[in-house]
Amino acid sequence: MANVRINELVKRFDQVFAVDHVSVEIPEGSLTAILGPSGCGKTTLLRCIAGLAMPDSGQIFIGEKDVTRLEPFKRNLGMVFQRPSMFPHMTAFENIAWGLRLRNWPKRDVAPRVHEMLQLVHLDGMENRTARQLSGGQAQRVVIARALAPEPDLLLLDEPLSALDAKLRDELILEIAEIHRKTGCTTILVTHDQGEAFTIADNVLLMNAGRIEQQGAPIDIYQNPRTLFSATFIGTNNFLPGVVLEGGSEVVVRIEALDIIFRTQSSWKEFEPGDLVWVCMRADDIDIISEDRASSYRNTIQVGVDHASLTGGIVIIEGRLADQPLRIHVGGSQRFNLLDSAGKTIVCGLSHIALIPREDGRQASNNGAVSSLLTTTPLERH
Amino acid sequence: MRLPRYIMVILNIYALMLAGIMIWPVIQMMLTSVTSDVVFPPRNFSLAAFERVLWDGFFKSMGVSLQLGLWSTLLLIAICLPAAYALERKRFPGRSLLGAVIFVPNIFPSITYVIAIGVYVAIYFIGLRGEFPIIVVATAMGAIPLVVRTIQGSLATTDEVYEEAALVMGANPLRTFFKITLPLIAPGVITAATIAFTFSATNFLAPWILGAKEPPVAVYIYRDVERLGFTPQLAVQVLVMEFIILGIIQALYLIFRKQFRGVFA
Repeated sequence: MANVRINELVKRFDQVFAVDHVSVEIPEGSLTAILGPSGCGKTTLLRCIAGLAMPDSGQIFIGEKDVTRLEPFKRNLGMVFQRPSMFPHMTAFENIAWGLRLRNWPKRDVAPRVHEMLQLVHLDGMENRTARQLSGGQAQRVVIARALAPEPDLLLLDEPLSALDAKLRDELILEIAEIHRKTGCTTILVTHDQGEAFTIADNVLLMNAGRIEQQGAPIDIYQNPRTLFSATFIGTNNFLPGVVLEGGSEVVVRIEALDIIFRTQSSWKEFEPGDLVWVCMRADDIDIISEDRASSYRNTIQVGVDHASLTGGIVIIEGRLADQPLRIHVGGSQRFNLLDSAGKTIVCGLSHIALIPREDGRQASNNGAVSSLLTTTPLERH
Repeated sequence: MRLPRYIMVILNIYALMLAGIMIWPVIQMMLTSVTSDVVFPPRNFSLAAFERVLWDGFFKSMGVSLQLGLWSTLLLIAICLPAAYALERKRFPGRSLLGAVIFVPNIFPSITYVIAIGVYVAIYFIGLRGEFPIIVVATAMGAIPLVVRTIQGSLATTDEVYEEAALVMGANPLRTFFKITLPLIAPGVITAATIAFTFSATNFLAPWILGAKEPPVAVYIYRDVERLGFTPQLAVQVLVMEFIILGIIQALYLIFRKQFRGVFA
């Protein structure tokens, strides 16, 4: 078990920066997810940590050791790949045992360790099966067992569930979390699936175009996005362009286009009067309330409802704040009451607002919503 | 698209005719060997051709052929396996050049290529002309493109992920190659070896043009033709040669059948 320190790492493919001056620390014993859209460089970053790709510049430290130029077979790591990687010409037992023999484990310890690992991944009894005799999910579990058997410093997972069907993915991701709890091995999971990352990771690195946009615990990234990308990649957000009137412990923001004032706290940045910001309201954090409860919210708005549709677990309301489109997700047992609210005006309390720095003239649009149900309304500046 | 029945029948007949034309020389040879006659339909049954063959000389040249096949195949695998691996798995400056150059023996007509080798040998190895090692090398060179292509094909369809997994697990590149890559490409390598063996053992051009001192079977049979013309003994000789070569190939596949487990599944 070890921590990972990456310093100014650069990896280029021809003229494209797959990894663009990345500096990050991955804590020992954590389950860290590297999350991002396709092509953001997350797999390249993982392969540099593994030694399967050599960076152009920068350093990688695993524990105290500089492994930047070290060959992969000298690094003491375990890796699980996206494509099936269980050796087809060996049984499950042989797959795991070979790794132990490579690391010079004493002969008499090999068999007990193999059985211990097979039990860990709930495959005891299957040791004599080959990949052909196992399902995709079972083969991946053998690969996980094989990776962990020699007690590696890190466990690297490169989109390990992509090749499996949805139900299996849900099962296996929780198993990975369980294995992490039991072994305590520093685990790095690369994925494009926000749900996967948020479900099991305690530390998330959000990557975009070769750079790390934001790092933190899932709830931190969710509630306090620091860039437009963070706010749009995770979940569904509504954006309003605003100007800071007062900074300090309570930030006062004015939405010029609508002449509305919002008050909120900024946990991560000191805003100054005159700063341009995006006001972000998550569709899930807009509460539909009755008039008399308005006073218990710091910020309330009046929303005119255009459509209300039921997707099962939530009701989606497409509405307007004055003439700005807005999207609201309503959960809870009272949601069905809203299905006939088209044409009406409803009062909404904003339970949480996030502020993101804005450049003049930029538009906000949700260009990577991972939520399987929705696309966020693009908002335009007047 | 379902074709009308009569078209299916016509196509079937056409296919059978083509197959018949291609297999005809073999059938005629088999008939000639047991009739000592070259006409069809066969007139009489006679094993005289078998008695007229000079078996001593024939089996001596068969022995040369088998040795030629063996050494040429070993040389080819030794050269082409690393070459195919480098071409398929590695990026290096000059890779596309090497990939193109490897196919040169196929670009030129074989006879031109072998004559060029002969000229080269005549200039630099004047004393060794016709010696067995030179024949082995010249024969092998002609098969390089085919063997490289066959092994490369096997590598191309083997996922690199297994090798990457082995590397991260702690196996150095050499160990990875012998314990992981090679077992996975074994069918392709064995097939390449049988192709190399057949090509080399039955090769005519290289031994003939370079004046092999110990003629392999194809040259031996050709010299018979030059001396005696087309006689029924030829059919017997060719058939015996084929049976022996095919028998060896079959034995190889039998010995290595475990490697092909799952390939035809």
